[in-house]
Amino acid sequence: MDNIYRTAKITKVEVETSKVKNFILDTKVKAFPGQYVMVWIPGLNEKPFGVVQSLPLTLSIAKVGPTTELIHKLKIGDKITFRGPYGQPFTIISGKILLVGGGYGVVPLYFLASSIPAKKRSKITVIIGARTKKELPFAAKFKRLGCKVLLTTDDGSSGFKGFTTQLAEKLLDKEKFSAVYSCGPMVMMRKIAQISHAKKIFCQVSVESFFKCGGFGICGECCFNGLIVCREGPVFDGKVLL
Amino acid sequence: MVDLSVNLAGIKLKNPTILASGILGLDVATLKRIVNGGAGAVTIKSLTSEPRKGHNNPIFIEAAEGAFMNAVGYANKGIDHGIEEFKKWDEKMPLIGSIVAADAKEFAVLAEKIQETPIEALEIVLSCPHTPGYGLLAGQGSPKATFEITKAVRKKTKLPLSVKLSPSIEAIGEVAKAAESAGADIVNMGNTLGPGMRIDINRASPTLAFKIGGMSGPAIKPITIRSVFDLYKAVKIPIIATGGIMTGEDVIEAVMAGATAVGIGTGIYYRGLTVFKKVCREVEDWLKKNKFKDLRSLKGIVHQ
Repeated sequence: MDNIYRTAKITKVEVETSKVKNFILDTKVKAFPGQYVMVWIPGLNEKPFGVVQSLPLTLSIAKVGPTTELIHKLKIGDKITFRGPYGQPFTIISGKILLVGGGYGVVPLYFLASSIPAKKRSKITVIIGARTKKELPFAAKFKRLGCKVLLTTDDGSSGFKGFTTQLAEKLLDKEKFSAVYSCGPMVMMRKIAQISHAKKIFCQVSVESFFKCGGFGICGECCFNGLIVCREGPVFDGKVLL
Repeated sequence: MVDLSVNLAGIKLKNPTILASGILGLDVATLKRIVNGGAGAVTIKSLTSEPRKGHNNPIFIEAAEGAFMNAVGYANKGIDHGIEEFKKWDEKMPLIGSIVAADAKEFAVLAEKIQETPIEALEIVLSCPHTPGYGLLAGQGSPKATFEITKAVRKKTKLPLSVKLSPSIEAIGEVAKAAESAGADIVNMGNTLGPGMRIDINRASPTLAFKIGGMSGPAIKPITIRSVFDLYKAVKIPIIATGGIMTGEDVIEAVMAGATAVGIGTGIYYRGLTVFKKVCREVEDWLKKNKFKDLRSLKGIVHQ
């Protein structure tokens, strides 16, 4: 049934950053953190978006091309059509966990953090990185969940001046974590996977790829080193990036 | 021990299951996983002269119970990129090349080029129902066009040559005869069925971006079986049955209708990359239970 398109209405639009908007819909899905839905804009295209929240279904969409530009123009009461959820979710390990998100890659990590019971969220540290202060999404939301939030910016306009990977490495040298989860640019995730591997820490990454059939695992367009990202991923063990 | 090996126009396959063209066949790394999945041979995704973006999404939808519909539009990086990629093929398993083109002349050029790769057979596809300039939408499904294109390709290669036909053509026997008389060694029966269309009533819009698409999945198996049955009477060259083959019993049915081997595509969606192994085990079990020592002896038995 997940393959059947469902049409929902937008009940709320939140402006997250200059590039990112959150769309809250009048529907729910049975999704696990790390999974995604395929959003279809009739007559234009269909693209994957990570689920931020399953009840009500919330999608966080960064404006990166023609399809997302069009989605950004949608208002309360407008329709959103989607199928899914699809993909393999994160395996959540109990204990102290580190989340490392690059830009809007932080989205699936938010669903992960919010799925952990409130009283255990103080054990979650999240590093969010972006080029500049204006592009840091979800920082306030993670704080509200009760997570420890560390920010990095390339230009030093907020938090640590430098990359998420540098801050993550410092933190992992100092403190003991039972798991690391990362989503963002490939170079960032590869570095996080390498650091975690060297320290023998459980690590999962959410790989971004270009989807065509999106979830069916049939067309081969999203394959990466022989892995079918849309179906066997997007969440993989960090080892696949080593 | 039952024997599942087949001789497909001189190529020895350890079993009759072949990865159909267009499914996960863009790169060697992914095709190697199909090798591990137990296929008898794998077919690459069809290559065109120039890189093609293909149609916008959605390109693949669930159309009805047991039926899928796709309109990919030959998204591929082009013949030159394909040659570089598939040159890397180092498996023992036969690799089947696949090409599509606008006309006989272009087919011939591609047929010559693709032989720089270690392919053991070449398939030409004259039957795509959803890409302007190719296949059915370019009139390549007629006996005349099939003859001309097959003949032009035949001149360029000594490899076993397969022609992929459309199940949507009524006088399919005539098309297959044209391919055979032009020198084809194999007919693949066939491409996706249709084209069909689905409309999303909540958006008052056809769901596929290209509006129409070819149907695959278990629901189209009866068409495949009937088409193979017709072709077995029409031609002497071996037939690959493609379309709705999901289980070992489907293979037995196709072979009884006259197929030598089968193509599997959508079956991967239902049963994973090891669908080939699973299907072969089911064929083996059925043959043992019914006291047949090999698959070959069932070929075309419904015609007797």
